[in-house]
Amino acid sequence: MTMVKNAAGRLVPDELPGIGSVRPFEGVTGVAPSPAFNTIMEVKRDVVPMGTNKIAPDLRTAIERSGLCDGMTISFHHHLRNGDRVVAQVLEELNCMGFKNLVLMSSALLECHNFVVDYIRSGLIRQIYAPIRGAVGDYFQTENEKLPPVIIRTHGGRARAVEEGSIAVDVAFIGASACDMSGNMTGMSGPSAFGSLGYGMQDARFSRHVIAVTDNLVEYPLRPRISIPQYLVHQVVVLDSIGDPQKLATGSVRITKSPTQLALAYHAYELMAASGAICPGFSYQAGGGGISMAVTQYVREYMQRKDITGSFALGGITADMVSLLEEGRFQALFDVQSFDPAMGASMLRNPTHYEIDASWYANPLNAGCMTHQLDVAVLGALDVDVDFNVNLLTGHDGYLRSGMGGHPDAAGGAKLTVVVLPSFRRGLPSIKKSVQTICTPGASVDAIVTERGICINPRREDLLKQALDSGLNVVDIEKLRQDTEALTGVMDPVEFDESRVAAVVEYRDGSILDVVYGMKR
Amino acid sequence: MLQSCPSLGADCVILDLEDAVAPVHKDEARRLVAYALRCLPFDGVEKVVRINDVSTPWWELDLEEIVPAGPDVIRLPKAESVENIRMVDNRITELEKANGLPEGGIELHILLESAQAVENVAKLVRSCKRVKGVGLGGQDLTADMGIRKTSSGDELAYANGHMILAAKAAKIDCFDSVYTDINDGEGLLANTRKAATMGFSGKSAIHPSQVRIINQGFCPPEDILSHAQDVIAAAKIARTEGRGAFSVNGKMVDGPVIRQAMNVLAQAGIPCNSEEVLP
Amino acid sequence: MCILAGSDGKSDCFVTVEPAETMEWKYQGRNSQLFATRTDSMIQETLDRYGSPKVRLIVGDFGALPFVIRARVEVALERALKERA
Repeated sequence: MTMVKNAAGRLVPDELPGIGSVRPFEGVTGVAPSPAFNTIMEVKRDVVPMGTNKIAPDLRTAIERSGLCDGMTISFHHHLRNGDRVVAQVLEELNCMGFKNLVLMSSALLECHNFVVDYIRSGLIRQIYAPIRGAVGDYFQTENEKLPPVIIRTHGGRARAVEEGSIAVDVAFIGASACDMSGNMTGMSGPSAFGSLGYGMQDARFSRHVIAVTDNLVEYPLRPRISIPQYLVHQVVVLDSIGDPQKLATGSVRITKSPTQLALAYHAYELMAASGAICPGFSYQAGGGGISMAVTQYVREYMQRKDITGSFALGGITADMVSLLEEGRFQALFDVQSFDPAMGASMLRNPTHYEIDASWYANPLNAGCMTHQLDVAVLGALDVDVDFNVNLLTGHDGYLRSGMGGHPDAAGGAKLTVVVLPSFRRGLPSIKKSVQTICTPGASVDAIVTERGICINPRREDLLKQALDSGLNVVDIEKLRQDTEALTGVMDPVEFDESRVAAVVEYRDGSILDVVYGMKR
Repeated sequence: MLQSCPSLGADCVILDLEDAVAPVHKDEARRLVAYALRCLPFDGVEKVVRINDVSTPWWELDLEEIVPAGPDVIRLPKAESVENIRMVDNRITELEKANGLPEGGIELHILLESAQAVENVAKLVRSCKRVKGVGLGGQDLTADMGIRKTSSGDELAYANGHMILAAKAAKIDCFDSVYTDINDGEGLLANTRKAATMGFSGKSAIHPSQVRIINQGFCPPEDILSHAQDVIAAAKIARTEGRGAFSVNGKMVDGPVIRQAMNVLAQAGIPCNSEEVLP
Repeated sequence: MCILAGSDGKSDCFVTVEPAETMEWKYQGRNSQLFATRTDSMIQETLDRYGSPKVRLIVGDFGALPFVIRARVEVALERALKERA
């Protein structure tokens, strides 16, 4: 494969093994498909003869009945995050049954999915479409010889890829916390309730065969809410457990108590206020990180003081958003993924806590995705660079550590995108000359806010003026980078193995934004 | 938190070598603070170091390491006598000279922690030119007086008033001590407003979450500020018309009232030219 | 006799010093790979300043800024040298 330089200045391949030719990133505005249609793939769905009992006695039987063969594509969602047990149980069964060379698609593979490496080695899995980290990330970066590079997509990008047919799912295993005998399912109710089924909803529409995997078979019909209707579902399997929803809100999803992070969150709120963004009818998205949640807290206090009612909040919905909804501060919440198991209950009691699918959320090619309607997005980052590019995937040591989520989608759509992060974390500087992996291009980012000051993208002279007029602490990003480096010292360069392409970063429109190389062992 | 202390919104940061540090760790803390003073980007935030008091074996070592690192202020706890303060002042002067620092550049703030010290405050604040700030060490003082510290602070009302008067007479700053209930934001705001009304120049925060509230507490309330602005506006007109006294919003205004209004504006950070307004 | 300075706090480091046949040190912990060069030269310079004593010095880093490491190393050395005297 040849490498070409894309519009973000990165060298990317022009074709990928196992996938074919790909186009390089052309800029954040170049999103029109060619020809100018959003062509939805033709989906062939299995027919279920009348009178069929959809409930399979066990996972094995369901798999047998699904018509799954070697080489086919299976899909999962990660709505239970690190509490998920669906992937583990399904892959174990598939492996026992002797399947080989499956393509694994998931909205994300997390630390709890480290065992996937074993299934790669056993030959069960031959390709992965999912953000990867942990043992799976390590595998691709240090060991992989036979699998094609992983394509890491945003939530909107994955929705687009599924709709256009770049990913064709044969069998979707959709975890649900409540399901009836016909396959009406949801994540809102039941002992393992996890909230929105946004990614599962998308998969269900575009798969040949859908298997609902639940630990809570309810009396027909499922009530009071159906997230995925029975006409898309072919089988129902009941397991002892689909996962532990208490592990949902772990990791990156608690409000911070750190004084430094609170100070930084306050600066971000001040910037929003100075820009006039917090006004009647405004719309808002905050990433699930602790700092973003602190920003929301300050925004909420401001909205209370000035008696402002916003239009909607989007995401990644956390409990603090529900409070805002129930206080009447927002008219609606659009929830593609719940970061708190209590979100299910909120969706049941609040008619305008809407459940939306991944395409509605962020697919840039449809008639109007939610992120394109956003006024403000407050998002985190692993690190950033002086061109305002954001890295969400690789740590300072070069290893894959996290996913992109809907970050590039929100940043690409919001009128004001504010990235929040401390100037250094645990002794490591957050602002670099050039990020290791570009996930959200700098052109989408209006400001980077640290505890030591606010950096405003030179493109946004209007925002700069507003910030200065409000007496905010605006600093030059290159100066902040240098000052921080003076404090932390200079890091040793990371040794990549450029002969190994572990993963590629796909921008929302399907173009290739960056490459994640392997690591020298 | 040390490494981000300049970014927490305070006007000055106090790095403590005294009560926050156990005896066995004094050397470590001293070295860390000296390096922090040199390496952290303070960007206009004042650097204050509270050293150990003169009855300890540490105060001289503290000064020897800290002065060369360039603090803005040394905070001296348990200041009891003019002699003690002068002894510290002299030592600082020697160290400033030895390290090529401007003599007298480092300020001294003294903490009064006994009844005797409060009684003597007028002399203590004048003991040397370096003394530019004074405060009470509330806990030690109430212990010395044999009384309980309460949330209202009534028991220290006279001590505070006495100290504030002495500070104003000597034209130095005075600082209110900490409000210990970190979770009571409303109580802190009320407490801070009272401190501002009494004439304190500032107040110590025991936790970063208190900084914003304290700043808010020192900002004049809206109605007071807008009246003060009305007074200043009227004063400018009166001056050009040669009138000495006039009324604003139904209240008589003369020289002293105009000066008070200027103070209010200064507290709110609004510049005001005395020549334009004073008769 | 092992001398210790610092702590395992989030942005701190601990430093241990003990007598040894030669002068040697080890930098381990969170940032030990990423900041190997920076820290090695800092420890070398500090040990030189203290007369290149025959000690084994270990820095366990929990994410400390360099000035913190330097402060801890100096104090550990001073305590060790005082102990020896």
